[in-house]
Amino acid sequence: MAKKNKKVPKVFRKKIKPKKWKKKILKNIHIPSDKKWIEERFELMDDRMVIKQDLPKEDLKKLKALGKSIKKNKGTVTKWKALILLAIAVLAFLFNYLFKNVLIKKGIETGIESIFEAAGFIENPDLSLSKGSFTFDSLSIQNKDKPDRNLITFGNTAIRINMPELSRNRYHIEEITLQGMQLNSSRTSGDLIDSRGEGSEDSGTPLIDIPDMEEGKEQVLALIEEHKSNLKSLQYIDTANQELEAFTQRWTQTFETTRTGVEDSIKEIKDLGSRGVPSVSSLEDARGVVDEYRGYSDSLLDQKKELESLNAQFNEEKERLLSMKEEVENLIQDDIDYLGTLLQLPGREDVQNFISDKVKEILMTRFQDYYDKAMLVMPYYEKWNASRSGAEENEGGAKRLAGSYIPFPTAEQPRFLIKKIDLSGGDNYSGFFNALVSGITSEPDKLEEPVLLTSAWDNGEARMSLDGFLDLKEDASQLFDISFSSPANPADFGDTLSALGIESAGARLSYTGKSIPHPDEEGVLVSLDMDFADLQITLPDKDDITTRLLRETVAEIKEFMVNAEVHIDSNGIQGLRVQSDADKIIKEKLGDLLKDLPSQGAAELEKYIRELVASELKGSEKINEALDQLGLESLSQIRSIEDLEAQVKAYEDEARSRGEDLLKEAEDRARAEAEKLKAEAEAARKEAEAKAAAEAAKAKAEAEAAAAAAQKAAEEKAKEEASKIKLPGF
Amino acid sequence: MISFISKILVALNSNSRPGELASGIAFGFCLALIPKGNLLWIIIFSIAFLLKHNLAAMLLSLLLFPPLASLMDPLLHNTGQLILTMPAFQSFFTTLYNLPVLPWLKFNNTIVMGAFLWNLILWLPLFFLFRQLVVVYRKKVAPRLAESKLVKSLKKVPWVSKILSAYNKLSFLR
Repeated sequence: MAKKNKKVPKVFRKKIKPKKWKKKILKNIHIPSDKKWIEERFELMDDRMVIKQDLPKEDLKKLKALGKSIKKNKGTVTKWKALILLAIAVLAFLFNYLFKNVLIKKGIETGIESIFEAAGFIENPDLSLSKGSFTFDSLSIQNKDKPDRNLITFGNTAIRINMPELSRNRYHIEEITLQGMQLNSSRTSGDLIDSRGEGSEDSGTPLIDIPDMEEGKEQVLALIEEHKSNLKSLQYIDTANQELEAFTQRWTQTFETTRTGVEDSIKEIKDLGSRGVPSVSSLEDARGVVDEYRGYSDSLLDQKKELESLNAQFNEEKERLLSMKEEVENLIQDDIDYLGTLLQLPGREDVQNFISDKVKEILMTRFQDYYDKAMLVMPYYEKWNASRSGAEENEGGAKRLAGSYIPFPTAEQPRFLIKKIDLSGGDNYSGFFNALVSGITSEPDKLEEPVLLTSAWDNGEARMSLDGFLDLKEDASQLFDISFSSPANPADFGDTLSALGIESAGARLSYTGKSIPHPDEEGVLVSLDMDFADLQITLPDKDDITTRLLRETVAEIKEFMVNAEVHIDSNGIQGLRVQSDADKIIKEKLGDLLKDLPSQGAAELEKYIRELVASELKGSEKINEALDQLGLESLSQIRSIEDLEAQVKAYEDEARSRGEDLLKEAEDRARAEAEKLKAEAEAARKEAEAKAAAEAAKAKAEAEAAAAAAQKAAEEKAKEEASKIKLPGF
Repeated sequence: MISFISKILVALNSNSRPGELASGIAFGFCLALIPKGNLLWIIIFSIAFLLKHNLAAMLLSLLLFPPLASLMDPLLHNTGQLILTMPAFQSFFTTLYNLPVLPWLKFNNTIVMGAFLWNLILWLPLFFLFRQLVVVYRKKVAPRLAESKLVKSLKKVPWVSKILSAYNKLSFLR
């Protein structure tokens, strides 16, 4: 029996009193039929309720199920659920120590990537729930439009939250310290924060950024460049250059040919010279040599005439081509006139507010830049706002009312408060800044002091300080008031004023400003007082009338003030008004100067056109040199022929001289023969006179006749000899 | 949903306490009435989770009651507004509001406060109502149902009996 009873669940095996049996067993059976069934299975023995013996197998099975359900129904707390909660607590504890910061790092970086659509990097984040602090060593967000640069970077950062206040559902951040903040720094591989502190894209932008206004030169150059294809002078130069080049080629070829002829002649005459003048033994020979030389001489003369003719032709054509230069001059003047009509130079009216207008340009650029930078953040803000409202909408999936929050007075503490933000950063080039913001709150009415802003900026040369407040109380008379000042900044205008003929200008700029809500419209009104003192202006080293007028003008401007007012709202710059006391001086003095500006413009135009033409003419100058060379070559060839002529003439003279010698010798010989015959005749006469003293008359007559006949014969012979050697000039 | 319903059916026909089912439904209603996202809801959920009652009943009612809660929102708001702005309670609520942690309950929200109050009011009636319904079901409906021709004929259908036995065998997995 005992063995069988062992199969009955323990809860039914005990022998208990009826009262306790009802409480412990019967009350825990909630199915009426089961209750009845169990009552039937128990019997009262010795004032105890005992389970019946020898129950069938089916009954034991049902008893087992009922026993289980009775056990299950005991107690009010389920153990396994408590264990789950305990396990969650243990896991939270482990997570805090092992995975918290890793997951925070991953979460922040993923969040940055999703919001900014660019890489984010955070170094050593540490969240301490017990201290209520969050710190990290560095944070950088890549600029999605310029992947090699960061949108923003932070160095050591610490945020400390007031935990007791947090438990009162109030978010009080005691302090936010953000060090090493940099905008637009360069990204380096591995180290995403540019530790060198360089490379802000604006690094080259000085504090007073005056845009390049060298409009005169730029305007002229741009105009010339634009209308270059219409400039007749350049087109003409181009054509002339081509013509000159063809001419040069043609004449180079011609003179090359004549040079060959001249060289042949030189060689020929040289050979002639080396042979020397041949010896002549007779007047016939002498005549032959002289005739030969005359042949050379005639040939050289023809060659010379040919060369001279070519030279004359060359010079004539060259002169015609060179006269094109004069045409170029005329065309340059035409081009200047043409461009002059297109050149729009500032007139007197343009300098009515010269300084104001320039400062207006600068301020417009600068404030537009501020506005554009602020607008860069807007898409992210709008995205965040949209996702926030979307999330709020999603939260109310069951479309429930949000209800309203009844405000209960608290200890005058706002729900959200940042007590202090200490922000510092910058880089070596653009300077370093420190900013302190205190009292940012969602409920400004609960704070006596408004949000206070102070900041200082220093780049080594210039300093700027800013002080202000932001009063967001509902009954605030002035929402905000921010004043800033920057004393003694070096303001270098560079060649900004070159349009006025000023080489360079510099000043010491001190400015103060104020930013307040616009009294009548939406937006902010920024007023700015700029004092440009110790003005130093460098004028060109000239003494023309323009420079003298300019010197006289600027001598009166040692210091000038500029007052500006900018109205800016969410849609951009709505208004910009600038006034300067320098305007009056400029207007009066410089206005006169600008009367001459059109002529200055024309002169400027001419200067640049001439420079342009000069560069275009460089080709023709080379051609000119070649032409001159060709002219020289031609003359040289003519001179060579003349030299050859002289040389041949010398040979001819020598030959003629030798012929003359021969003639003289023949004459002498004939004369000596005549003398001899004369003497013989004299002797014969004397002999006849002696022989025929008697035969005086007869013999005398015969003798005289014989002598006369002999003399006549000698003379005729001599004449005949002489006539054989008939040379020109003899 | 089907799983919850089958579990509830099993609980109805098993030897579980009628109060377990009733408190599960009452807590589900409670949680459905209170807007989520505040400490009060988390506390009530944690209590409900820890207490021994039918979890399936609680989760099913948590799923079924929100539309009813949306309909009740104006009532909850008005009730919450009435209580929260009652001058007599101002100092009490101010004290509560300035205590640590309690503001996280968001009790100063009219809907939360209204829901909380209506929960206090309705919890016991709901509990007893559903408890009584379970008792009545077990006493009168269940035996008749078990004896009904429909159930008997259904039990005879082979695939029904197979599904039931398979379900019983695999119920430990749930």
